[in-house]
Amino acid sequence: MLGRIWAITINTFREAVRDRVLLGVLGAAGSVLLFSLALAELSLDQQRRVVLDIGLASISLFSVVMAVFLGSSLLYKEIERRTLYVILPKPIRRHEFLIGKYLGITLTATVFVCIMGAIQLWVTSIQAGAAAVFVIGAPIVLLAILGGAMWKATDRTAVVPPWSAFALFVTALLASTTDVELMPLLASLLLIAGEIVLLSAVAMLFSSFSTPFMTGAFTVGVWLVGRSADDMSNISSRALTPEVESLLHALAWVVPNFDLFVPHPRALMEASAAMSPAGYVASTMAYGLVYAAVLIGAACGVFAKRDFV
Amino acid sequence: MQRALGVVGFIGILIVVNALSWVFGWGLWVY
Repeated sequence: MLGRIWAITINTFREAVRDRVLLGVLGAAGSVLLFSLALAELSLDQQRRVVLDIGLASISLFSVVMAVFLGSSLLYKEIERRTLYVILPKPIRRHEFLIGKYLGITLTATVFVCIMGAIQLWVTSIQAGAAAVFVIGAPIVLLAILGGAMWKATDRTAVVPPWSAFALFVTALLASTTDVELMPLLASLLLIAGEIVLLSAVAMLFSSFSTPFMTGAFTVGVWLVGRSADDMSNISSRALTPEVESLLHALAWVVPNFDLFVPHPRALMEASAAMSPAGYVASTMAYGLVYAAVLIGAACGVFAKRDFV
Repeated sequence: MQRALGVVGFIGILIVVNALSWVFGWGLWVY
């Protein structure tokens, strides 16, 4: 069963990576990260904070765009192009197909976050004044390794995921030569990946029964509402009637709480009375995984009953 | 009827997961 799911996963990843749109998104996000260096210079003694805040916010935003785009289009493409009809008669269950698709999207998004994280760490190291030889050497060595691996490998796309993790590792080493606080940054990247895991599960649920446009609209809607979950559960305003307020409270109990994945920086830096940073990250990831599992379970149920004629 | 029950049950499970996040401290709701 795992072999069959893996086959779908790696092919989904391949299909996603070959899509030129994603390269465009990656390029745009990378440019924003570099641009944050220029923006930081406009600030008064807050250069590092500007680089980190703009960088992490843009990584989060671009990965959300990517998860919505992939989640809403990939499954529908299989149905629209009728490639699904060739796959389903093979000895593979429908839920295995759907889980494979989901894992492929998650893999793509994780690779994206790793590459963006590596660029972010590199930019932060430049800002923090790392030695020039390392700053120039790291990207050259990494790109050379990628080129060499692509040249030698039989399956070129399979090279990218391990390489992205390695790039993150190397740039983390580079950043550790400076006085940048590394752990909160890595924790933020992990949480962004967690948010994407949950958001692509939302997209999969909607795409199991609706069209790409509607899926995109629904998913963005759930994301917007989920990002406001904390505000909704705490809201008390004179402008709202008690009925509306209780409706918002109830809504906050149902939607996934995306607020958790973008915590206040202090939550990742120092232990509070209730939780240590590591505990916070671990528990938030557990929440995201459990919620995503429920959504994927429901998506499998809907997809299994669908009539493809 | 069955479909409506399914939707209600699904939303119920989501509420339970969100409630569990409270009980087990899975990413405290309000920091």
